[in-house]
Amino acid sequence: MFKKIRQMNTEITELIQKNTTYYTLSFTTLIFAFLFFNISLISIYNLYQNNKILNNSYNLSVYINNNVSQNSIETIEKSILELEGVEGISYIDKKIALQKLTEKLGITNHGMTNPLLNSFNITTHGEENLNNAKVVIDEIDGVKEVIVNEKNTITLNKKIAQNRKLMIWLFFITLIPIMIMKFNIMHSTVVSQSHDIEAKLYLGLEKKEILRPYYFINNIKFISAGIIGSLIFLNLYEFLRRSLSDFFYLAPFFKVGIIVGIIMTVISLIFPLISFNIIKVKR
Amino acid sequence: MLNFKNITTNEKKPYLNNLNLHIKIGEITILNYKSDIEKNKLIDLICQLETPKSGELFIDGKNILNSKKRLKVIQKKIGVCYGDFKLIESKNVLNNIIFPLEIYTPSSKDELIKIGENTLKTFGLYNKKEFPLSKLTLEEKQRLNIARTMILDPDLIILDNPDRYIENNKIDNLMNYFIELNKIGKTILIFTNNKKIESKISGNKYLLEKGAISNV
Repeated sequence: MFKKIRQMNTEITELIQKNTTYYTLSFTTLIFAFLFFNISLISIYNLYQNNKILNNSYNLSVYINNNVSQNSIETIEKSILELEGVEGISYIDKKIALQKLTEKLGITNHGMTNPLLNSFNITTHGEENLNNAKVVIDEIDGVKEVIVNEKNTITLNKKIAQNRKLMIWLFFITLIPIMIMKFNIMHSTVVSQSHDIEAKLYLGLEKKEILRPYYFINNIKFISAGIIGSLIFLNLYEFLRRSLSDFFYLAPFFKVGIIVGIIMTVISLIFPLISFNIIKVKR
Repeated sequence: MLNFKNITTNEKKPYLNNLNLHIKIGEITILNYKSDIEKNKLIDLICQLETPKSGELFIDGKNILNSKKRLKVIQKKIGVCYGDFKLIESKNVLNNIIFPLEIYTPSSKDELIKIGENTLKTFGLYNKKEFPLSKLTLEEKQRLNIARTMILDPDLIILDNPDRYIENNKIDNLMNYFIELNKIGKTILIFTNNKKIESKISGNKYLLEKGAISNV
């Protein structure tokens, strides 16, 4: 047992001493790979969150007849809230609406008859729910008119589609290549030593014993690069979030920290297990 | 000591086809060959790194093909001097030579170093024991290769072109060394096409050609 540990320790020391430059370079590359992996991953997450917010922003205005009582308005509100996909509802009193309008137009409303109606501003989840809600609300007694904000709907659809495209693009163009790059870096560490591995095999060492120090170095290198790359990313993210949160939606730091932490833990736990199967050597 | 019985390897067109070779204990045998692949296949079979499609391979009376794992007891008795050295680049000269001892003997590191240093002295490499392999000439690498073959004091010695890279004037000494080893009972199999060696060594001579062995 101790002999094996001693032997492995010697092997690791010899390997590192012999290949210091190679290990340093591949370690640095791995750190950058993890940094870009996290950038890609969290960009996808932010786009996903952004789409969730956009998806809940479809809205329509419901105008109520003037002769509807306050109790009936409350009943209408309740029945709208029960509809599938309705995310929010806000009541706009016609007096307040007029006040806001005159303020906006810079005129006085003194003595003016209020031409506006009491209304609800409703937000729904998705366009389908919006259209369904419109049809149902139109049939409710006391409702004069239901108007969908078409311009807003078109803009939302466009933005959501753009974000989806960007997510797919980020996944295929950056996330997958970075994962492949990471595994290739790890693989090359072993392949570059194939001469020595083969020699040891011929001299009587078992393949598992030969590869153990390589896997040990690889796993330590992988996990450390993952931690360093992620820490650099989190610092960078917090800096960017503070600077850019006024312009874009960026998920809170603690949420991103948890996601990065979970992903890194999963990768670090899975990699040592699958590396034995992924990294193949001759024979 | 070494007995190949109707060995056929696994390829579609087998490199070794119904091969038979019997080397008795204490014999010295020269094996000429036409193809490097066929020669390497034979060495791979002896090292248990290749499993044939059919046939039997006895080493020291034991059919090693019956075992799924490499038999350390058997491998310990075989010393192979490889044609392409199979030296470990990440290790220095001393660590290369003691490597087989680390695998097969329970001795302490100090004891291993002592044995390694003595063997290096025999092969004139003691003063280069701390050298990395990149600092050795091809001849020195070949000497190290042969020295490593002998480190476990094997009963069966397989030599793949041991004269390669050795200066002409030293080949005779090297062959005499093998003849002396043979005299003390070691079984030796030499893969070579060098006529000088063939003339120097009086033993069985065979030819490995088209996957089979024939007498020369």
